[in-house]
Amino acid sequence: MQVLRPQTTADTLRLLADGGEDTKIIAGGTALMLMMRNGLVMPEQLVSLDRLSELDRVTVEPDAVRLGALVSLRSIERSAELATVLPTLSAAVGLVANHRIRQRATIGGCVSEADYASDPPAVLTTLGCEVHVVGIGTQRWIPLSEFLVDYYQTVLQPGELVTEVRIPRPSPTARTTYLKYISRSAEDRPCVGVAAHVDLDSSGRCTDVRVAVAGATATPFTVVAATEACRGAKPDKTAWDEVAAAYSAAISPIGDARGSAAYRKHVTGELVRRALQTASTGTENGAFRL
Amino acid sequence: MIQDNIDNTAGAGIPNPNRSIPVATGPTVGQPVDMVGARARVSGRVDFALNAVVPGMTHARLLRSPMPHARISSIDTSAAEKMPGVVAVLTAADFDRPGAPARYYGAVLRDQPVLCGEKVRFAGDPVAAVAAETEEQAAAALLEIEVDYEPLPAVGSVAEALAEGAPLVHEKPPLPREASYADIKFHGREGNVCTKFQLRSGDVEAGFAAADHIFDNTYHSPAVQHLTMEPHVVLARFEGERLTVTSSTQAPYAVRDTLAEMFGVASSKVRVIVPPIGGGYGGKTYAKFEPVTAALAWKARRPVKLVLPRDEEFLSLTKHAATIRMRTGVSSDGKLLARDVQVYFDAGAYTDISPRLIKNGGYSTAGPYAIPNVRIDSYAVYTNLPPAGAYRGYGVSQAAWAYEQQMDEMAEALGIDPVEFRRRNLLTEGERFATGEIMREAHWRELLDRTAEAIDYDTDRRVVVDEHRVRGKGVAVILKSTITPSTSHAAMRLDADGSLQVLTSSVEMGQGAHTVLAQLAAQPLGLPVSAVHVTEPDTQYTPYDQTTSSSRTTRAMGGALTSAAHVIREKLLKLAGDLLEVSPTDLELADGQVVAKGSPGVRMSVPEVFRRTRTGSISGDGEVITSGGLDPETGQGIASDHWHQGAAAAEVEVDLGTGKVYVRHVHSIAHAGRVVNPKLARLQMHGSTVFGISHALYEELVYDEGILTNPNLSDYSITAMGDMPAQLEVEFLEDEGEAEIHGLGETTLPPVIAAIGNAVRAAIGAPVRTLPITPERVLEARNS
Ligand SMILES: Cc1cc2nc3c(=O)[nH]c(=O)nc-3n(C[C@H](O)[C@H](O)[C@H](O)COP(=O)(O)OP(=O)(O)OC[C@H]3O[C@@H](n4cnc5c(N)ncnc54)[C@H](O)[C@@H]3O)c2cc1C
Repeated sequence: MQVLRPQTTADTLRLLADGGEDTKIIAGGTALMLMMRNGLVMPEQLVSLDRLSELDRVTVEPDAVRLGALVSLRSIERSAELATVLPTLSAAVGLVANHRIRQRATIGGCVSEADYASDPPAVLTTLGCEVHVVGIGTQRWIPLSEFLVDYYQTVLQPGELVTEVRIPRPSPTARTTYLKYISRSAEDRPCVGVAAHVDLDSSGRCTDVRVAVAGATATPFTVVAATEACRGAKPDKTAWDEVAAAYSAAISPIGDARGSAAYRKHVTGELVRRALQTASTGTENGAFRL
Repeated sequence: MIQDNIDNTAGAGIPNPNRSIPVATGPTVGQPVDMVGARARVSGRVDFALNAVVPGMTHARLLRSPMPHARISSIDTSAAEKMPGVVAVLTAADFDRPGAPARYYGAVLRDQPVLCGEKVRFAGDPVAAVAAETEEQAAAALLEIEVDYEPLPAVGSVAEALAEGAPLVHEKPPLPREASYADIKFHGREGNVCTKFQLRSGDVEAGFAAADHIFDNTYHSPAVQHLTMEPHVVLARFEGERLTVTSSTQAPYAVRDTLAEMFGVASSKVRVIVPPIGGGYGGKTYAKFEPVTAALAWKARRPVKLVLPRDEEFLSLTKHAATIRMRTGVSSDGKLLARDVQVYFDAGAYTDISPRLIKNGGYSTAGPYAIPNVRIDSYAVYTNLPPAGAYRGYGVSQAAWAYEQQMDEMAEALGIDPVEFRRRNLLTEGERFATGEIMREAHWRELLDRTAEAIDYDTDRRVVVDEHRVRGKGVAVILKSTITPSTSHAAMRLDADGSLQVLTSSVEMGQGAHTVLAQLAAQPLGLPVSAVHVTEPDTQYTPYDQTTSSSRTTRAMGGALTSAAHVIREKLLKLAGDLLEVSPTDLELADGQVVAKGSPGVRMSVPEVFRRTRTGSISGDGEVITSGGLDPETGQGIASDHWHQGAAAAEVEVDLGTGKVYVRHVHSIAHAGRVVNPKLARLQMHGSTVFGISHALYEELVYDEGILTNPNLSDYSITAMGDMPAQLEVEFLEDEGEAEIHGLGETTLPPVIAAIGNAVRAAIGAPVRTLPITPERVLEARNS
């Protein structure tokens, strides 16, 4: 097997085009190496992104944050600036696996892997994240919710590369929370995770409620009708109970070693309620491990 | 000594003839000496078998069956043999011919094929082995071996294996090995029953008739894996017909004997060397992958090294899954009157050490309680799953999970405090255990009281923390045996400069055995620990030891070494006495000097004694050979040379919305007699606690139609640092003055599991009787 290490995006795209079917991109390798070891993918050629320093950049703009695909989860978690601008994302990233994994894992790899049992995509979904996909002579911005298609599947075409993700700055009054529920031992992936975003107007009524569920379905799960129905409502238990009930009723979760489908359905309702409650009544934005 | 003519109804009981040499705290014993080589371990400089390299070495990989039960119709290795780098491809056809090795091995029953010939018995059973210049080449060659299987109906659980007309894992009951172990007897070997242990004490029916309440519950523990950091590693090489094996084994002599029998050579022709190993926990006891590696080296005519990949570790050996039905009769004032137990241990496809484990696990279901009428039937059942064998706790975790859960359930039903209920029934000094043996050094009450006190069990046993969470507390107390009878020999050599060579076949596997043995050897000779070197086990030089297992090394090998040290001491004092013109009995040894008692001016250094008498070295041997054994019909006799006694208490918090259990506080305590090294002893107990939490809450091998679904560390869950309780305490109960050493490497693992179970029950008000206690099971129990 050959490992190629291009230094520019243009060279990377060329190598991907030349390589064809049996070429795989490798970023941090934390997911890909496991897939290779388990014989799920058997690439003949790897295009490593490790020398693409142009993709290892964090840019904080007035209305958005742009994270290069090669930015590691560890540097997202440790950036003081991101902790201020995107506190819940930064804290949620800090709950992924362990620091050894986060040191290697990249944000581009995280979204491209499209593993259902992931934390950051749910938070990114509530934040309205977009993914920048480039090919030879093509480039497009795609909302993360459309980028992720199914279990381990994205809209990426062969030869395409994720170069960065763009996250709009949340409203300054938005209250955000991520609850990561782990059903087994401490460093596990989520059984169910819930990202909640609650924005209120000056009279204390809901203006913008968003909830995305991680770990239970192929891609982050939302029931937009249920959260939109909160507009104008008081952010109280009655409202949250309704959203929770709607999520629990609508979700068709996967059953796996972390919990059966029925169990996840129950836990989804439980956690949606708690996440909204924490977001609306808690004193700090952030992420919590349960 | 096997006990005959036992009157199993009389109250008299059977006295235990075994004693170990009492040891007092002194200049080395009882001191918190750092583990020898601790730094090298941390910095990665320990020379594990993993690092072993010899010239001309080839690398092995195994081809394993994808099916749980199938007939092999053909194996074609011709393409694999032509693959680049391939040196040899080994199959069943290479065995059992003149000059060739025998194909079947096993510590007790010779029922495990080195490579399968006629049929495979579990998904993962090896069918071929390849030696190649590199591991990658060996792996590539495996893909070119063609095996045709005819699937057979399989039994994936004990229930399936015992069902009417179930397919047989072994068509003919395999024959016992001639040179097996003295404590192992066979019973009821038919169908898929590998063997059975039974115990009959008193009159169980009369006991139930007299009882006011009868509790009848079934408890389940799953199979789990040992997950040693270092996998199984074997390097085998022949010089002529002499075979040398470097292995990460816990049982060098058992491996030697297996290989000598397999190749039909004298044991002197087989040399087994054991470097420090990276964890064992029972998974490396008896021959495991030495037979296949040695056979491959024999065929390849080159040295062969096998390093088992992690996914194959999951197929190597497991803790026994167990289902225990326990019926207990109690009087309304809380006295246990009768117990009737059926224990079903899932042995997997091969016998390994199941006959002993189901015996020890079997009688342990009586618990540390004085129950006058007991009937126990404990079965090892073959299934088409990976073989089960020794695992830290040795059947007692499964037994205690049943009896300690039931103790709490009964206490609640009777309205008696769980600690008080136990106190009314715990064995006390001089009382009879279910095997009829008289218990001595009985400390269970004190252990229980201390652990209960440590978590303030009497107050706040159930506390509502907030709208989601409740807390609960639980306790458990256990007894555990050690292999009996058993044998350990040691040899020692004091050299002219006053340094000591200790020759022992006890394996250093991270537990600190060699440090503790050095402390025990040094003290009688007045030497510092730094003057002692403990050799690696090497069957060419180091004397026989049964196994490094069963928490027996510090007591058994320590006893053998202490005897050997006294032999040397006597010889040395005799020489010195002649020089100093003082009777040897009036001399003592301290700081490398021979000194006359009461006249410190009359002295001579040890090197000077050697010089003046022109002595080159002084040798001494020592041994510990324990006696005991149980009657095969009644299970009466001496089960254990001494009893491990332990207790634990836990406080947990349960999230009632998700069902998840958070362990807040664990305390555990073991009777130690004399602690040789408090630092290392504490670490052993910490290890047991971590294992206990892991078994209570997380670990389980999950099979689907006989195929293991979680053979990796992402799908198989084990305790991580983040799961450790905020408060984790361990304590020893030591005896005053000179005291016997009690093993403590496993003692607190079983009660930690059961204490967590009882704490969960206290919190949610319902028992979870199946391990692990997953969030889903908690919610199910609460809602039922
Ligand atoms: C032990 C362990 C525990 C974990 N626990 C968690 C957890 O708790 N929560 C959680 O959310 N996640 C968890 N993960 C997942 C982890 O976050 C991902 O493995 C990681 O984010 C992937 O990033 P990477 O850079 O290593 O990707 P790689 O392994 O390099 O690549 C992953 C996939 O994405 C493709 N790819 C990578 N970069 C690009 C790109 N720029 N453009 C296009 N395609 C690309 C690769 O071809 C491959 O298919 C865990 C992983 C491990 C190994």
